[in-house]
Amino acid sequence: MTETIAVLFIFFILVVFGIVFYARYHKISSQEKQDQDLVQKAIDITTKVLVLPELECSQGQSEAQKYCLDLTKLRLIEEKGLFQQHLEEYYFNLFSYSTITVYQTYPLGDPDGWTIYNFPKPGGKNKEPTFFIVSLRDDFPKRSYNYGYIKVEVYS
Amino acid sequence: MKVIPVRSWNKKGQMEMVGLVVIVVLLTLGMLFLAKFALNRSESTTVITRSGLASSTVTAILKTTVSSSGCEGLELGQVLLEDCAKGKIFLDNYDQQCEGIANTCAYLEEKLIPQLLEGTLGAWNKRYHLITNLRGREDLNPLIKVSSMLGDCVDRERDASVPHPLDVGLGTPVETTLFICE
Repeated sequence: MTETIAVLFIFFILVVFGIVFYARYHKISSQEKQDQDLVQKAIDITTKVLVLPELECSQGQSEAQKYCLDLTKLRLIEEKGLFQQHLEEYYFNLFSYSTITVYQTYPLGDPDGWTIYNFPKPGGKNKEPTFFIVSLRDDFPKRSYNYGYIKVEVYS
Repeated sequence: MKVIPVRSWNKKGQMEMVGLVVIVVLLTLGMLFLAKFALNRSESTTVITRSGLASSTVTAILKTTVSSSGCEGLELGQVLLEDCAKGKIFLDNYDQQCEGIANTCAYLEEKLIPQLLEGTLGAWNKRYHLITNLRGREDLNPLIKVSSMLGDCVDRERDASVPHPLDVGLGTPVETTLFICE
């Protein structure tokens, strides 16, 4: 009788241990999944930014240059707040709740960069920044390619 | 003389054995479960991000217009890399002199490329190394090798950019590859 109780006791301890372990695992994995979704969303937004005609380095009839943003367009978009002006009818569908900033590191540019889209989620708790290195084409005073990166922050 | 009830003792032993077997089975199941979860973690997103980042970084580096004194307005990939390759072939005879450094390979390896990479990948705590080779000239390779402050990615799980070949007019291309790891 005592042995049976002992075995049952160990059995139930193992079951409880298993349930606790699974609950913890589930909590962590759902958090990881959420983080991964956020990173994936940031990658998607970065990809959209890189091929956006409003920003890419076009060259007449030829195909646009890869991993390159046009500084003339970028400056104008930030100055006029073009993405913010057409937020509801177009850009929110592309970038959702996020902040997109472009920085120039060589030659050293403005440390604040160019914030071209800024729409944080109201009451959003998590923020996931993703970085991607790009060339920044500057046509004034003469054509040069600077070195910088895009920072995309997505909110959840 | 005391008589031992053999049959009932055996039955009790069998019951205990069944209990132990159940526990062992449960423990094995638990371990299998744990192993499955531990091995099944997806790293696809990280890999996509890293290889994409490596490719975009090399493309941006090679396209960069240099603003240093002595070689202002020159393209890093086309002009300086070409000068570095030619200089190595022709016994350290370089055409360009950036920031007073007569050896273009040394300027790229010790100043310009580390400055570009440390300001971005280095600032994001990424480990990396970049290698530039002249195809078919193992005696001169690597032309340039730059590693992060944290070390290189030689013995680590890493992602690389596709090799970026650049025709520098030597009949054989100069290839630049960037490796990024955690």
